[in-house]
Amino acid sequence: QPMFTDPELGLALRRIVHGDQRFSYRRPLRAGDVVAATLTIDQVRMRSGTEIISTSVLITDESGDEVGTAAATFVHSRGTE
Amino acid sequence: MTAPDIEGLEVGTELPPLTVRFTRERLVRYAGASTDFNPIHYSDHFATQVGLPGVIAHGMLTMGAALRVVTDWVGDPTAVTAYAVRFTRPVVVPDDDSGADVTFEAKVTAIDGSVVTVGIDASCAGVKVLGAARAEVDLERVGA
Repeated sequence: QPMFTDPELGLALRRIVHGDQRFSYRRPLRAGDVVAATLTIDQVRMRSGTEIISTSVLITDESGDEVGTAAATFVHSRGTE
Repeated sequence: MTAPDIEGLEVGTELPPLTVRFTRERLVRYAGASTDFNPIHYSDHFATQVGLPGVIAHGMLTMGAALRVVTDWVGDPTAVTAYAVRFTRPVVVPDDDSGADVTFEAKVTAIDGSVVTVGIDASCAGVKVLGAARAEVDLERVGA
């Protein structure tokens, strides 16, 4: 979510198409878990007016142990809107 | 909870298929639940303006629905250790009473100890909408 609202990135959810999504789960989330999700933009490739953005999210619990990961590719067009 | 019997599984074993109906109401509900209010998921006007045939389902909704074919079979969603899909074709959801039916079929593609890899086919009106969809389940995690 912050990726789409960061003014410096200039991304707009309405110009995004979701290309792929991958999850891995080390353990299930349980009620009461406090977790942190850290998103990294791994790669941005330009292709004829669109950006292909690869991201990965690492989800960790309070002791810093990995709970799971979520990786995705988004296709974003720099529209005129 | 009873895990599928690993002894009875082999590469090619088919899971019970599942058909899920996507309607406009469901997309609106999913938009609210996920906070993904991209107008391509509710506005024909906007969707056609950006070159789509009409309003399309959220990819993540299709992805989530597809995994049910695996979780219904394994009986315990916490047994899923990995899941990946490519969104190859959109699921177009018309604004009518019947919406769009998406059919999910799955079969075992690999077995490594207690970890079973399942490949999933998702099709809507005869068109495949997900590519390379596969889930890994660890049968030792069932009921753990």
